[in-house]
Amino acid sequence: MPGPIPRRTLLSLLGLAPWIAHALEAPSGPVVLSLSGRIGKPNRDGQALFDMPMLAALPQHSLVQKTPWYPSPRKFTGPLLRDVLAAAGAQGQQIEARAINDYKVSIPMEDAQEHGVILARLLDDQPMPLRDKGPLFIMYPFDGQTKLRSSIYYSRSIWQLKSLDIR
Amino acid sequence: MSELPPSSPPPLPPLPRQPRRLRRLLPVLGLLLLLVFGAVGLLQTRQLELLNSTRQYQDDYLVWSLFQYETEYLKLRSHLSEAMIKRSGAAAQAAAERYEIFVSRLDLIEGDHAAKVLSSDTDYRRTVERSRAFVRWADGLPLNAPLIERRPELVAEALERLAPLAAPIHDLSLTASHHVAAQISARNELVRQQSRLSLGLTLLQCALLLGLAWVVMRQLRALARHGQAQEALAENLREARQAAEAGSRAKSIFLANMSHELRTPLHGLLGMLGLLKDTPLRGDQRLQLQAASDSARHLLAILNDILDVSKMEAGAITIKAEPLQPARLLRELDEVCQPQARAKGLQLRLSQDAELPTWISADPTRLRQILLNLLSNAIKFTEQGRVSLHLARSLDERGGARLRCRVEDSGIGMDEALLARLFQRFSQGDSTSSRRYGGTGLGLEISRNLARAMGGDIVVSSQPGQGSCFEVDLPLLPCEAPEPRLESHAPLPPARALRILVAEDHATNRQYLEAVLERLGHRAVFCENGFEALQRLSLQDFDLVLMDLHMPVMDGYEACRAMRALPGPKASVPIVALSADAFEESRERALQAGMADFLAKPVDIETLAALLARQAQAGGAATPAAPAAPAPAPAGDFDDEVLQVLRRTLPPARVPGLYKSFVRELPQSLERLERALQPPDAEALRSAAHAVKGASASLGLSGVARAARDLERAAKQGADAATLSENGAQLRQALEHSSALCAERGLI
Repeated sequence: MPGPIPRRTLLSLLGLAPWIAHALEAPSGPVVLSLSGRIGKPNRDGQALFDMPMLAALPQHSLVQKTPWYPSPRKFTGPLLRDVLAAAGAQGQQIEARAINDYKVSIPMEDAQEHGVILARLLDDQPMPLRDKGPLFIMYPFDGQTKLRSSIYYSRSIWQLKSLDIR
Repeated sequence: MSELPPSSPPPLPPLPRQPRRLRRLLPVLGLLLLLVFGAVGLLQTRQLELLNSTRQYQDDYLVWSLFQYETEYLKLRSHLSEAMIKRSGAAAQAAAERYEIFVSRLDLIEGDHAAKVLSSDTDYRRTVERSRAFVRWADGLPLNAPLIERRPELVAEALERLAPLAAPIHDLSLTASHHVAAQISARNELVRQQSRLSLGLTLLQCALLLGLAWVVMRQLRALARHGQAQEALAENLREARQAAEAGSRAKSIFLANMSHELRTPLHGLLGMLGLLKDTPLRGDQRLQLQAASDSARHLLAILNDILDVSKMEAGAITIKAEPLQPARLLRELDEVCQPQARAKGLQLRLSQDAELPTWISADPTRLRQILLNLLSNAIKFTEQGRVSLHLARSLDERGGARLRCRVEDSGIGMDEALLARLFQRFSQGDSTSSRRYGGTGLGLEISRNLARAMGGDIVVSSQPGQGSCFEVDLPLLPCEAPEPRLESHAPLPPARALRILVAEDHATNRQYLEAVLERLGHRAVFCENGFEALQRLSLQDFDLVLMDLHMPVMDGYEACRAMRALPGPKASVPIVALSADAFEESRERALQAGMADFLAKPVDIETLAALLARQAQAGGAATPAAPAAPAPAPAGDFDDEVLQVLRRTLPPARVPGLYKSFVRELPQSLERLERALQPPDAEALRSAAHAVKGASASLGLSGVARAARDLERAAKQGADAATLSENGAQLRQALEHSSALCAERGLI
C-alpha cells in the first residue's frame, strides 16, 4: 500500500541525497540484503548492506492478499522497496534481483516507484525461514491492480532474495 | 342529353393475402437471434475468464518447480559431498543452506496446485512421500552446519539416503512435463472447441439475420403490393364515382333543360294571360282566365321546386341571415294561408310564445318558404278541424336557444311506413293521394334541406287519423332591431325643382327615372339617345343632364363633348353620367369627357336625391360625389330588398308599371340578343347586355343583372365564341325567367 512519499525519497529522486541525507550506517548483525551497482550510499566495500533490524527500522507496510504461491490470502509485511533503494541512494533504470536459490530476475525501477512494491520480511507477522521462501520476498500489490496479475509480475516476485544490483 | 354512365365499374383486382405464416415466423426468428446472441456472449465471457485465471501460470510454474526440485536435489548432493571432503565451516554452511532450499522446493511441489494436478499420479505421491521421509530424518538430526562439519558419517548416510531418490525425482519432472503438455493440449482443445462453437454460432447468426431480412423483404413487398392494389381500387372507385357523377350531372342538366323548356312557354302564357286581364272581359271569361292563371302559376311553382332541388344538389343554396320579426312573419303567413284555410272551412291559428325575442336573425325568404310549405301541406291534407302554427323558444341539451316552429293539423295523419319515406323525393302518402292532392313531393325534401342548411332540422310525428305534427327546430339567434328605414311615401321636399334632361335608351330605365325624379319633385324631359339630347339641350334650358353612357346613335361621351361645344351658358350645364358599369375607368373617362359626376346603375334613390339636392343648392356648380361602390350582386334571381325600397320610396302605383315596362321590352331585348348570338358578335352582345343591365339592376332582377354583367365583361375581354354563347344563353334564360319572377310577386 503506497503511503505518502517520504521526504528523503523525494530528495534522492532529485539527485540531492548525497549532499543532504545521512550516510547509511553499517550493519551490526548478519547481512540479509546487499545492494550494489549505482548506489549513492554504500556502507561497506562499495555495497549497501542491510541486516534485518535495519530493514525493520524503515517504515513498515502490509499487504493482505491472495497469491499464486499460497492457497489462501496471507499477510506480507516489510518496508517499501523504494524506501530501501532510497536508503542506499540507488539511482538506475534496472534492478537485477538475485535469490539464494540462484533465481535471478530484472525489475524496472518504475515498478518500485509506481506500484508500492514491498520487501516482505514477515509472513503473517512471523519472520520467514529460508525453507519457507524467506528471509525476504519482493511482493507486488496484486489485489489492488488487475494488470499486475500476469506472468511478468509473478516472475518478478522473487523470494529468498539475497541481493539487488542497480544498473 | 348525355349518355348514362357505364352499367358497372371494371372488376377489382383481389387484394394480396397477408402472409400470415411469415408474420408468425418473425418473433421466432427474433427469439432465436436473441438466444444466439446470448450464447455468443456467454462463450466470450467464458473465454475471458479462462484467460484471466492464473491456471496457465500455475501449470507452467509447476513444471518449473519440479525441474528446480531436481536441480536442487542434485545441488544438495553435490554440496554434501563437497562438505564431507573439505570438512570446512564454509562448505558446511553452504551445504546446510542448500538443504533448506531443497526443503523449500519440496514444499512448493507439495503445494495445493501440484497436489491437485498430480494427485492421481502414484509415482508423484510416492516420490514426494520418500522425499518427505528423508526430510523428516534429516530434520531429526538436525542437518545443520555444525553437524555437517563434525559428523561426516551422518553426511555419508544422508548421501546414501538421497541416492535412491535420483531416478524417481527425474521421472517426476518428466511426468509433470508430460502431464502439463497434456493439460495444455486439453486446454487448446477446449479453446478450439469454443472457437468452433463460436464460428457455428456466428454462422447461425448470419443465417438467422438473412432469414429475418428475407421475411422483412417479403413483408415490405407484400405491403407494396397491397398499396398498389389499394391504389387500383381507389382509382376504380374514383372512376366509378366520376361515372356516377357524370350520370347525375347529365340528369340534372336534363332536368334543368326540361324545366327551362317548360318554363319558357309558361312565361309566355303568364305574360299573355296578364295582358288579357287588362282587356275588357265578360264575367265568365274573367273566371276562366283566373283559372288558367292559377293553373299556370301552380305549374310554375312545381318547376321552381324542381329547380330548387337541382340547386341543392349542386350545393348552390345560400342562407342569408338578417333581422326578422317573428310576429311580422306570422302576419305574412296568415295573409297567404288564411284564404286557403277559409276556403276549406278550416280553423287556422298562428301564435307565438311571449318570450320569443322581437327580432331574430334568420333568412326570412327561406324560413317563410319552409313554414309556407308545411302550412300548405297541413291545409291540403286536412278536410276538417284546425291547422295551427306555434313559434316557441326552447333550449337544447347544451343550453343553446332554439326556435321551434310547430305545425299541427287534425288531418288524415300518416302510418309508420309512410313516415319512413316521407322526406324521400317524389313520395307522397300514396299514389292515390298524389292524384287526389297533387304536388311534386319535393316540398318536404326542400324544406328539410333548407332547415339543415340553417343548422336545424325537421321532425315529424303522426298517427293515421290523428293528425300530424311537424316541428322545425332551428338555432335561435336574437338580434338588434335594424336601423329604421324611411317609410314615408310623401314626396321629399326639394330645395328647388330642377329642370332635368335625361338621355336613356332603355324604356324601363326611363320609366324608373321618371318615377324617381317625379317623387323627388323635379321636372324631367326624356330622350332616347345622345343625339336627341343634344338637340333638346340646344332648344331648351336645363339645370342638369343625366346621361347614359351607352346609347345608340350617339353615346354619352360624344354627346357630352358636343354639349360642351355648344355656345353660351349651355356649354357649362352640369352633366352627370349614368352607367351600369361601375368600373373606375368608365368613371374617369366620363369625367375626362367633361361630366360633372358619375352615378352607377342601379341608381340608388337616396344617392340621386343627394346629388340633385347638391345641384339645387349649388345652383349649378358641380361637386363630384364620392364614387359609388359597385353594389354587390345578390345571390338570388330577385332582390326583394330593391322591390321594398322601390315600394317605400316611389308612389306604390308606379312600381308595377316599371316592371310591366321591363317585361314589355323583353321580346325586343331577346330578339336583339338572339341576333347578336347568331353568330356570336362580341360588340353586339356587349351592347345588348349593357342595355338590360342597368334596368334589371334598378328593378332588383339580380339574375338578369348578373348574367348581363357577365356577358358584357366576357365580350369586353374578348372571350371566345363558346364562352360568349354560353353567357348569352344564360342571359336569355335569365330574361325569360324574369317575367315569371315579376308575375310571382304580382308585379305584372
